[in-house]
Amino acid sequence: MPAALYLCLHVPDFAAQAALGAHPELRDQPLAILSGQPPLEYVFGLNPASRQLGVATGMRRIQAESFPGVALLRRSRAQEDHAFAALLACADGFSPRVQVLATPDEDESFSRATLMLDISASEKLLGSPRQIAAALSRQVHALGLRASAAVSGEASAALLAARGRPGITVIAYGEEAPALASLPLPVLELTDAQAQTFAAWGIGTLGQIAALPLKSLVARLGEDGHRLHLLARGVYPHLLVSEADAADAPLIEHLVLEHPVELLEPLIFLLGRALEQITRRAIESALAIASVEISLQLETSPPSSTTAQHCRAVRPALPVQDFHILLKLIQLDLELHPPPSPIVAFTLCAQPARRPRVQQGLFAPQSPEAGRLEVLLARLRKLVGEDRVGSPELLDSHAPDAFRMAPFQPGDAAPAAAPALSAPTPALALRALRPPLVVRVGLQGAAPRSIFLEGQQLPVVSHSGPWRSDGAWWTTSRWCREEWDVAIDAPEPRCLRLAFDPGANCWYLTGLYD
Amino acid sequence: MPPPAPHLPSPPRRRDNPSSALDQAWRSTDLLLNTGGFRAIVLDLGDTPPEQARRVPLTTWYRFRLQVEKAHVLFLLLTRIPCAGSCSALSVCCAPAEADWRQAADGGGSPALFGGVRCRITVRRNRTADVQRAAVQRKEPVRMGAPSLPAAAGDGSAWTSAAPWTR
Repeated sequence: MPAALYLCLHVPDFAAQAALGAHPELRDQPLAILSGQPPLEYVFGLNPASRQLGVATGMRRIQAESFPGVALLRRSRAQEDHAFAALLACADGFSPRVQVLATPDEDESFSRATLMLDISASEKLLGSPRQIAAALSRQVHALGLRASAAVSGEASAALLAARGRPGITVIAYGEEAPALASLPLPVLELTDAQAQTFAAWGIGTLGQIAALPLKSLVARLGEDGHRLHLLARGVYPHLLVSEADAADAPLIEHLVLEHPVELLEPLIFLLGRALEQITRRAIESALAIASVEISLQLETSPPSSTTAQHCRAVRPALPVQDFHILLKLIQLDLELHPPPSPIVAFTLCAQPARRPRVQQGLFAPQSPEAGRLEVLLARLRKLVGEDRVGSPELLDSHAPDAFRMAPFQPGDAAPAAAPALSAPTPALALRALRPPLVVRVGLQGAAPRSIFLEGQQLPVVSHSGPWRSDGAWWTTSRWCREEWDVAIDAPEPRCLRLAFDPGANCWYLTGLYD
Repeated sequence: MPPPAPHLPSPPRRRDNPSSALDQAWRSTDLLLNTGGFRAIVLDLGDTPPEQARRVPLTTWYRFRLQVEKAHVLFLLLTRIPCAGSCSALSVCCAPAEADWRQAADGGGSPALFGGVRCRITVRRNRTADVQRAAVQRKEPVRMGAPSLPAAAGDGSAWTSAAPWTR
């Protein structure tokens, strides 16, 4: 059985880092995150730049505003939740056993996120422990988060090293105590009483605690003394309890805008940034995006609705991994169904799915790539209307023009039948006129004798009919018609189909035989 | 057969503005040709009056021809008059020659059933004829009912298409 190996990922100042994801322009500026209800707002999160200026957590808003150049932002729990979900999904790509040791919202005094990964026996798959930590750090950095990572055979040693040292730390087996010796006491998260006691003893590092006699320490601090001694030596036992598999959970991104967005172009830019994050998370799990639901929070509710929300959904025929395709589909859908008022916040909820595997055949009909075909259909829908794009599908009715437009999916077409050796007679084609043309018809008895078409009176040389049909007489949408097949000679020999509607007492030209 | 009952069909809508419909057709065709990947694209302007089809700028057909050559797609244009001019590689005129009217079973004087149309097809121009003649001889493809297409301009052929109720 291989020896246990743990990787601890620690994200300090999580609230500030999550807020920077929505405000990347503030990345190099001092930033303070405010929590609480006005006027009792207090500083909850900081970044290193503001901490260097002297801003501290717990300060009131007016105190924080006295520091020049410090940007103040309101805390957004939704942003923190989504950033933490992205962090968790990233860790899931490296180990099936991930435990959440600290979440951003578990403490009201400071914000952090800590994950423990079991990477035992992963060397052959993912590389050396340092390579695994580096790869994970790169992916977390791509999410816009700055994290420290530590690898050790003891989970507690990895946790303390990740809390106390920035960057990547790898602790060899049996070297936990020397590796932790120089770390300061705050990494142990002592209580105020314990911190005062150690300060009174003149102890400032973990190495000094580890050097204390265990019995004397337990005699003075009780069971906590034993725990702190084991922690300082990096041998405190830890039972890793992994989180539930979150591979099929929906991928959610939420963004609250500071100012309402009225134009579609800046909104698409913001949606694209969120969609890129979602797509990256799906790709890291070897998944694709099956559907995206867009929920736009409106500034004012429209008169026709009681909720100030505009919801749309984009569902490509096949799950896709290219976020440009998804963004184009969202853009075309929003151009076709624009929100009625300015946007103040939006939420993207994407449903991941397995990547499609299509077996191409040598004799399969040629068709564009699935993603390009989706964008093409969306463009055509925007151009000619949603009900005019697709494949016609007959309805179970004898009513004229009883069909509907089904989604265009060339892959579902039935395979062509084998060619018959004895060729059948070609079928007659009827070019249906939609809507039918209203025409004047001269009658001889009940049969058409002439047709007034395009300003001319055209004599009928042959006719056949009437062919009567009706239906839906048990409903209000009853239909009834008498159809005639007629032939005319001028200006050119043509065969037409006429229909007489007894209810409206009107003649229609419904089609031409081609 | 019940007597005709009052019927309120969908009221005859005013036809869409032909120019806007044609504009939509051009833009849709541009999209289809630019996307590529299709084997054949059919643009049916059979309902468009000849005077409107003649007013289509020749640059439109040239643009389509360039896109077709680039996308390696078969582009079939159905119109009532030849309007693509020299942009077409093959121009074929298909016209109904005579209708097939079948007498009633009782031997009455008037025809009782429309049975189909005999169509005549004539090649107006074929820019690929020389290329086809120069090509290496190969096996003839299986024809599905329709007669073989005449190769040179002026050649003609005919076939009969039957109505579904007579087949």
